[in-house]
Amino acid sequence: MVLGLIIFMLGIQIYNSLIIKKNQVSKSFSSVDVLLKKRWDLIPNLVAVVKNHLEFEQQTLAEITRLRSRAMGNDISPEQRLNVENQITRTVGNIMALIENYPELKSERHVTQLLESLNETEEQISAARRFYNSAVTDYNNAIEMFPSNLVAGYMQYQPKELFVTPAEERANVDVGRLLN
Amino acid sequence: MVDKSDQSLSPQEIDRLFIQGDRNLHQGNFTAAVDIFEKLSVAVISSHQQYFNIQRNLAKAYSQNNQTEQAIALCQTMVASDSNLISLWGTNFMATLAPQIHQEIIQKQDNQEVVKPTIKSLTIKQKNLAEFKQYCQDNLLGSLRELEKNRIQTLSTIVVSGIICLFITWVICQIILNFVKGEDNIVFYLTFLSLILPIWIIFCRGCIHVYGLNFKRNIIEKIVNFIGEDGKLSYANKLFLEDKRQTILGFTNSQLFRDELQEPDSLEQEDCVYGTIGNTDIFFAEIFVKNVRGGHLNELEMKDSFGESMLFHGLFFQAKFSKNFVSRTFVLPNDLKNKILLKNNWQGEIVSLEDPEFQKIFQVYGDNQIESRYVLSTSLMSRLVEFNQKAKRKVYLSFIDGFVYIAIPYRYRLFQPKLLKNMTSFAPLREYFLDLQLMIGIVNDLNLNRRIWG
Repeated sequence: MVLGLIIFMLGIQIYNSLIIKKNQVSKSFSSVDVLLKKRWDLIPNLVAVVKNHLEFEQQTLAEITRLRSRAMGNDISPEQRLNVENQITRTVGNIMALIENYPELKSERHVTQLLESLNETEEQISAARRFYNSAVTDYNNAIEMFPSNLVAGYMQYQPKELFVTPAEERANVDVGRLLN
Repeated sequence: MVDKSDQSLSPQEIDRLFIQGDRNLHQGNFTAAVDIFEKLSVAVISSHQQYFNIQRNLAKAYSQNNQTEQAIALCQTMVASDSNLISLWGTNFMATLAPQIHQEIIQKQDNQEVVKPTIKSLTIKQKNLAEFKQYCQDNLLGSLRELEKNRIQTLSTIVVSGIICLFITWVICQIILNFVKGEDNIVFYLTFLSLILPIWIIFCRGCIHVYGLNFKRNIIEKIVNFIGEDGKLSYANKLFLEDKRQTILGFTNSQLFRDELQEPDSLEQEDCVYGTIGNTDIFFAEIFVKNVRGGHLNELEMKDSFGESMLFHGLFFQAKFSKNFVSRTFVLPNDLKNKILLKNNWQGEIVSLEDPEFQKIFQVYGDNQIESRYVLSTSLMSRLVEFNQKAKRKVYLSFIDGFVYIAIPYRYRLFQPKLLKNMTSFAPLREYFLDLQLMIGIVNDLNLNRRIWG
């Protein structure tokens, strides 16, 4: 009887802790989402500010506008969205690197402020991704470790994917190649 | 008024006048303070290490003495100065004198900033021990020899005065014993000696204090000037009133050792270094923060029991951080004490970070999981690990209201002259250099100069 009660209490505790971990993952994912949307809002400003100066980079600007529209679309799966957001990160990085080569652009105050905001948002996205990865690692550990894996199996919890930085994003931006 | 004919003053005279002027300023004798600082500002050239302090005190004295026009004129000269530190202080002080003019200055500076190139990250070259040794040989040797003479003189004074005290004790005891026809008694001698001893100790402390002042002015200040680039750092043995108030506010705001709403009961500071490294304003000092218990008047108008305990003693550093954030993040040593103390803490929830090396050394608490990670980027974490290894001590950090606060506890007093050690040897200087270099180097070590595309 006592043993049964202990097992029951333990089961409740594991169940609650799994719920907390799952909610933490959702919360951290929504934080990433909020920041990605904040970045979407900055992209039109970036394009508007630099389009007159980066005449030779119209293709890059058209690309980022296309990627933004794609990311904002309703018909996109989470995996595709992740992929598109990674491409946006890379393209924004490229544009920021290109601006380095235009001193007259860099000296404009609103460009500096915009780049500051973008840079800040990129770093916040990176921080939010790290938080998401930390929450997912906790969650995955819990659903794979004994005895919580028994409760997780009963609740049909599945492991979640971590945010992984694509190889091309990890590489340094090659400004020379971009300018060619 | 100013005696223009006597414009050349010796360094000793400048120091003496400065202390006198400072005292007048803090005692409310503003007219006398104005006279002295006017005299000093004429006598001292802009590259002199006291120049900034003289200008600053003169502006304060003018303002307090209701000479607002002169204060504004002086502030305008300061704003136009080539030195960032003087210019910054002048701009800030102008806000209290004439807000309208301050606004105009800010607008002018903003317009100028637009055409400035974007600053990436200013790395300041750190000095190494070999360079410091060379600097000591070239620049400090004369002062060190002088100081060594002072040291021996101070030691001799202490020893001789001790012998005189013993002799006086013996003579007085003999006279008293002869007068009362008593017998020699060791307890009597010791009792009388215990009356003389405090006087001798006070005298010795005075001697050591004077020696210490010379030492700090001649050695520590020069080491600070050597480490800080191009005289952008200033050194003060002590800071008073509103400057001390700033440190109290900084310590309180850091919330490292106490809740935000509680100011420390007592805070003393020594060896204050302030100024600009690259584009970062810094301040650090050795501080002594105490908790005071009791000492209040009860209903019988009697004081209850009084006691003090040290809350923190060590180096306290503060600087503007390069990122904007609104929540609080605390980085504390990962030891048992912090784990137990922070069970009911005011420092937020635990933030588990992904760097295992960092997690081994530090425990992070914060109000916001994402913002704590935003502040503690992966590169800052590895820089903090390296800094901790370099400091070889426990390091406490907090990131609050756009500032970074760092506290490094010490068990012994820093930057004190060693009365029993030869001052011409390199060993004690090396210690002072490393401690100062550690603090000034924080800007580089934590990359606080990083801006936008860092």
